[in-house]
Order: sequence, then structure tokens, then C-alpha cells
Amino acid sequence: MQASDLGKEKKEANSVSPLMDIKNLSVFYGDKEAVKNVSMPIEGNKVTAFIGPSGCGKSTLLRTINRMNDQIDSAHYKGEIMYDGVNLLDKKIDVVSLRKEIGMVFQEPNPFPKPIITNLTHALKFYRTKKSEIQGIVETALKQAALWDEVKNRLNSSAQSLSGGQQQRLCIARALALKPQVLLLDEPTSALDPISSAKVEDLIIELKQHYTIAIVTHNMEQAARISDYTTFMYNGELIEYGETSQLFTNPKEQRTEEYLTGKFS
Amino acid sequence: MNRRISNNIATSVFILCAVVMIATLVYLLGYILTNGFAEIDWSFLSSNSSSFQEGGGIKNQLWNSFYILMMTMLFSVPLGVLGGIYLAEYSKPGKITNVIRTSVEVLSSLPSIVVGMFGLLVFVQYMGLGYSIIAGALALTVFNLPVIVRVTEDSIRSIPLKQKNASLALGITHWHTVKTVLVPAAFPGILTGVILSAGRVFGEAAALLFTAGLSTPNLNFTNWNPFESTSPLNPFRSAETLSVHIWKVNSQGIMPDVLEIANGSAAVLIIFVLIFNLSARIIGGVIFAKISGKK
Repeated sequence: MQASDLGKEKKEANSVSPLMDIKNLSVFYGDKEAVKNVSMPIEGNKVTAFIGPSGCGKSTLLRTINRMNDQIDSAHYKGEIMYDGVNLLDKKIDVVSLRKEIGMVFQEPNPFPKPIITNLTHALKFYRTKKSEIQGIVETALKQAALWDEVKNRLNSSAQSLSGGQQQRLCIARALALKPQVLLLDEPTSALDPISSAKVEDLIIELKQHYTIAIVTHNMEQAARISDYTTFMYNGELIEYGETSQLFTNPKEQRTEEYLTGKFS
Repeated sequence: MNRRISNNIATSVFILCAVVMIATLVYLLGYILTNGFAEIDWSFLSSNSSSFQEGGGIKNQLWNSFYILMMTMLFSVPLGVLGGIYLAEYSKPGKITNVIRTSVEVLSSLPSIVVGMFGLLVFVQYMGLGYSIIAGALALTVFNLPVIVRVTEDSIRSIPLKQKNASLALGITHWHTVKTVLVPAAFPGILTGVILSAGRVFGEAAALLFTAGLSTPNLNFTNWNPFESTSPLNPFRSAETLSVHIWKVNSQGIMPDVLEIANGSAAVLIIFVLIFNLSARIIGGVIFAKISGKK
């Protein structure tokens, strides 16, 4: 697959079938099966939440979508993740352009220990964005991440002088500057205080108008507040997938209900 | 024994160790500097050494030390930094990596006199370089390379994985991530390591005895053509460095002011090593502040 093929048929895909279709996906670390035969869609311009107890494979699943698990030598896959007519797990996929198109924000804010502006221009420069455009992209991304007003007068300050919540929004802005199609958020608020978390949540709801979002979260209330679809995973298996309103109020599976009511965690 | 007493004892032991350590250092530095300082003046630094008369200087030795240092760094820094990056980022765990890492460790624990003997056999005799600056620099490279590799690998490994992930998740290639995220973040550590190792190289004597030699030809400091035998830049001439000079003067010097020359040279050597160490800290800090932006 070429970089330019990604996203070509995005609009058709949106209207007809889900933007992304995970089919019979299994992920292994060596012999250990961390994700077991999961099939589910990820709908375009919606928020899909992944909930479940620690170690249930939800982060692994997320990190498989943008192939960050390739970093781990023992990781290997079975199954498919179809996106725009290509299988993202194909060996021939150029993971670099894949990751440009499918952005990721991690659990812990991880800005580069560089000036705020450099955090945003880091990838833009790599992709040889024209100098005349960079300023505008930076401003748009920071505005989308609701950070512009807080940092516009100190773009050359160190990103580490920002608060945790601001750092996380900077990381979101950094991903948005590349104009991705999909944003993968791996517990983006778990390291943040409640006020910062609320800001990030508002931001996610705002962003789904333009982006497809998949979010892993420990926080069930958060999943209920911001997501359109929810996936409950347990022990690497997908137990239940459905519309958030339905899954939270009227779960079909007993284990989902037990988890939601706190019988186990 | 109650907890408070054992706590106090532990605290006192640590303080005692620190005091012993600092006192030794201060005494040593103080002894060398007070003995040597009186001998240092401009004529000592800028005149030729004499073999049997009073009043010799250390001009050539000082120049040789810096020249060999520079050449050693020219060989060992690029090779060592790239090797360290390879070990930290590219090597896959396995037999080959283990062999490389073990080799680096063995190299770093080789006694410098052994490195000198190796240099004599390989660089001086087998490669036919003779007693020369280049043979000395190559021997010191063997001695210095493992330090640089280790420092680079450690500095890069100490950067949190989340930094690397951040860059990779933005669709940036591994090489560009190494170049623009990992190496800049590791740079202060690498630089500090390089400058500290420069201090070690500057003061090294044993590895140079049989490689750079014990004598310096007459140098003409107006002739900067590196291909002429009297040029200070000629890398194929023999060169006695400052620390070799200290050893030689002390062990076989027949001039009447042996002690003064040795003391003065030792003080000069120590002062330069101190300058290296202090500048390592200052430069590392300044560069880190520059890379990371205003606070």
C-alpha cells in the first residue's frame, strides 16, 4: 500500500460501512494471547470506548491499530483490521504513513522536552510542510485542542512548564496538527486531575465532529459520558459491543452487567 | 538497639564516608596545586624542556597533550557515539549483541599499560607507524572508545520510552526519531561523558609510553605544514605528552630542578583536567536549557 491510498475512499466508507472493521483479531506476546479473536467495527465520526479491567487487552487492541505493538519483538497478530479497503496488519503496510493518518495520545502526557511550538512542528517539519503553512496549522491545532488562549503568548516556553492537563492537550494538538482521520486515545485522562480531565472530555466530544475517536478508559462514567459505542473486554475477549446508551442501561451479557455494577473489576 | 540510634549511626557513617572522600580530594588537590603553583609562569609554559640544565619548560609537552587529545577524540567520538546509538536503539537482543557488549566491557577494563603494549605491536610495529602521535592517538582510542560507547548507550537508554513512542506515533521514522528526539535529549549526557573522558585521555601516560614515545623532535612553531618533520602538526612524529613527561622527569631526569618541573607539570595537568570537568557541567547545563526551551 502507498501512503496516498490511505483515506482515498474515506467518504464512501463513512456512508456505507464502518470506517474501520476489526475481523477475528488475535494479538500474541510470544505464546500469550492478549487479544482473543475480536471482531467489531469502529464507526466514522463517532467515539468508541473500550472498557474492562486492567490487563483485559484493551490497550493492546488500541496499540495494534496503529501498529505501535510492532515495537515489541515478541508481538504478532492474526486476523485483519480493514480500513479503506486495506488490511492494516498487512506486512507491506508502511507503518509510518499509517501512524500519520491514525494519531495516538498516550496515558501519560508525553510532550517532547522542547519548546511548545517545536512539539507541534516536529512532525510537520519531518513531512516537509511549507513554512508559510506551519503557523496556521499550529494555531488551528492548538485552538482545536482548546489550548491556544493559554499558550499563545509563550509558544517558545518549554512544554514541561505546562500543567499535566495542558501537556495532555498539547499532545492532542500535536496529533491533530497532522490532520489524522482517526485518533486513538489510550486512557488520556488517567494521569490528570478532575478539572483537567473534564476539559479533555469536552474536547473529545468537540473533536468527534471531525475525527473518528477510539478511547480506552478505566473510568466507566467517562465512557458513558463521551462515547457513542462501547466495547467491554475481559481476559482478552470481547464480551459485548453496542451503543453506549444500550450497553450501560441494558447490557446483554451477564459479565458486562457484573462489571458495570462493580461486582468485579 | 532502638530504631533511633541505628538511624543515627547510619547517618553518621554516611557523613563520615563523605568527609573522608572530600578530605582526601581536597588534600590531594591542595598538595599538588600548592607545590606546583609557584613553578608555573609564562616562561615555564612557553619554553622548551631541557634535558640536563635548569629552567626547562613544558611547551612541547603541553602542545602534544592537546594534539593527541584532539586526534583521539576525532577517532573515538564519532565511532563511539554511533556504536552507542547502535547498541541502544538498533541491536536486537541476541548473541551478536552480547558479544559486542562483552567486548566493550572487556575493552573498558583493560589496563592501560596493556593497551600500550597492544599499540606498540599493532600500530607502531605491524602498521609501521613508528612512535608517533597517530599511533598514540589510536592506542588512546582503544582505551577511550568503550567509555564513549557506554556513556552514549546509557544516555539514550535513560530517555523515557514515552518520548520515543510520542515521536513514532506521529508517523515519524525510527532514524528521524533517533536524530531529532533521542540524540538531542541524550546530548547533555553524551557531552558530559565525552568531556570527562577527555580528562582521562589528557592525563593518560602508560598507554602512550610505547606508542607516542618519550621524546619530541625539535618543533618549529612557525611551520604549520603537517607534512614537514619539524611541524607541530606532523602526526607521524614522536611526541612526549605532559603526563609522560612527569613520569620521565621523575624516573630518569638528571636536571637539578627535577622536582620543580614535576610539581609544575602535575599542577598544570590537574588544572586542565579540572577545567575539563567544570566545563562539562556548565556546557551540558547550558545546552540542555537551550534545547528544552525557556522555563
